[in-house]
Amino acid sequence: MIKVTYRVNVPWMPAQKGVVGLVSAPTVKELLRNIGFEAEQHYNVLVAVNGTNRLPEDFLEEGDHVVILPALCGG
Amino acid sequence: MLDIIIRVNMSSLEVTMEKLPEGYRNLSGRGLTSRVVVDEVNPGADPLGPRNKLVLACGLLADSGVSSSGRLSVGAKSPLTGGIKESNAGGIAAYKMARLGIRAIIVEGMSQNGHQHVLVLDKNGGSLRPGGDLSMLGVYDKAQRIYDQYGKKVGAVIIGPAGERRQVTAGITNNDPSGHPGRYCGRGGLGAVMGSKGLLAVILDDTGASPVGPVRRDQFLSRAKQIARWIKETPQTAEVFPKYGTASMLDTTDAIGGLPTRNFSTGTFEGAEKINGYALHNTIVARGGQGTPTHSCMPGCHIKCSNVFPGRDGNAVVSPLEYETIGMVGANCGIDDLDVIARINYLCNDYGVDTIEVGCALAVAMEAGLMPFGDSGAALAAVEEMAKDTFLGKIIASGVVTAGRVLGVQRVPAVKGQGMPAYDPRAVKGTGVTYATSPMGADHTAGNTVRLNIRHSQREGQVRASRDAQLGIALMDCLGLCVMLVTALKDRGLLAELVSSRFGRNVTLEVLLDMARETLDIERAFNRGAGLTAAHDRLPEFFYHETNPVSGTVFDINREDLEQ
Repeated sequence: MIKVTYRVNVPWMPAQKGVVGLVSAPTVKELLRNIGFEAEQHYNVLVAVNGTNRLPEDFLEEGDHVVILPALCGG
Repeated sequence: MLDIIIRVNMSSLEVTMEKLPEGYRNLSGRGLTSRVVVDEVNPGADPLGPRNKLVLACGLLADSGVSSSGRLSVGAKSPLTGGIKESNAGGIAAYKMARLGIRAIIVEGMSQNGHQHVLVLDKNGGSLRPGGDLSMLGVYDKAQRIYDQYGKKVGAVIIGPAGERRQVTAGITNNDPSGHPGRYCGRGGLGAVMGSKGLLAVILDDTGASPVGPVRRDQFLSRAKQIARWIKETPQTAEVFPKYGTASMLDTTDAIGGLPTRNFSTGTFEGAEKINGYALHNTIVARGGQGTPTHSCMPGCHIKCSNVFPGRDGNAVVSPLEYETIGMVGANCGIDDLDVIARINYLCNDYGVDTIEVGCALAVAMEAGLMPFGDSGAALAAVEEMAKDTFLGKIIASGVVTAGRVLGVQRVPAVKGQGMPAYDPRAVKGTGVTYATSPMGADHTAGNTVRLNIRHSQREGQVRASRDAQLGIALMDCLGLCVMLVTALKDRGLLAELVSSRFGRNVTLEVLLDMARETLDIERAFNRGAGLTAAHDRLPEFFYHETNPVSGTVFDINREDLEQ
């Protein structure tokens, strides 16, 4: 079991943040599923971990800081 | 339909109407502006001389009712980059052009003896009229004079004093449906090209025009409705952009080290929460009055990502206030005050300059020690000096490369002479590849990869991502479509069906993609003729050895990769 902190900053989802415990060697996809993101939503979000973005298949580590944001095409 | 080209000779003051050449029949937007520039402008021409031409074009779907299809493209040889340039914006000008049946306006030659003119186009044709009464007025006063004389419903394409002074950061703006003249084709100094010709404004009066409907009406309407449905089904276009605008990008770039801060010295800003999409939305809503967080910049847009930012008294300060301006004038200058950013945005709009260049130049001036990072008052004062045409004002209005040279700063974020937008290329490397290799210079709109499902700070896959993005954006630009539509566009084949049913001929997606590819190819060929080589396809050196402290990365895409 590892713990990561997370914050959801996606306007169409309820704002939430906290610490979540995950089985060892969890992926971003598992975190998303754990905090309520349906699989079809994964494409619509960008996941930042400790200052860089990660893909759903990337692994998380103990103490990671995760921010989930909308995936946007530009500004 | 849409088969008229207006040719304006500023030397002889003749305005003629031509039939669209058969070879141009599928071209519009950037595809048409670049084609005309390549066909008619010598790459060696002086960008501010009589041999350069300024081309304005609408898209094939302008005034069709399809959401987000009314971008105005402006093209020429750029006095800022020395290469070909296309810059596009929303507004109503392209819509009005289409209602008059005009696909493009080509402005050539140069007015004699410093005389300035206004081009007026209506259902009867076009004429040049004396424009001296508008001379050196700010954009907002110019727009008001135009509305007073021609009515509030006209489309107005305008330059500010910066364009008249041929300053290489000058843009060309046009008005939105509410009358705000703030939809800027801001990049590449195209306002200076228009000013060099002695043309201050283009007035588009569609009173009494008889636009032609789509040839295959039912098919066209069903496809247009599909686009609208996709926009409503996609959370970004249905909920994020209408509420928070493009400023919603700020939290994303801030989280991945991509938000240029204090002249690209880091990629996250401690004041981000004061200037992000939420702050912008909450400020606008709390103040009320003329402010609104949800606003269409063009007729028929279902996304409505524009806004009107009000002051504390509720009166409009500027419209729109966008991510690029907030990023470059805000975080990149260490300024966390939306009121100051909005005021600088207004001043830039009124003087007629690109806020990205000004944000870059201000930050370089801060790095040079002219003022501290985060000094809002000093930044405002420096921007006010542009309109006063003081020495400092001229430096800022000449863009970041000139500012860096005059002030002795080595860390100058620019490619091919053009200042970098609000994505740090060490953290969003695909966009960095676009900055380096696009024919347009450092331009996020030429192929931003931040939406793609890739690891943005890693080296692998960025060249391909940029190449795909540059092609995809060229397709949108060539059709006059807004990039904000991209996320909702589930099937690009629908674009071909829209073009086919509107014009009653069969145009496949492959034909449209070929047009986009060819546009990129001819733009690169023009640049080679203008003296821009692969050696210019590089980022400034500091991005290769100075680590972005947030992403922990440098820009490490080497020259061989970039040349792929």
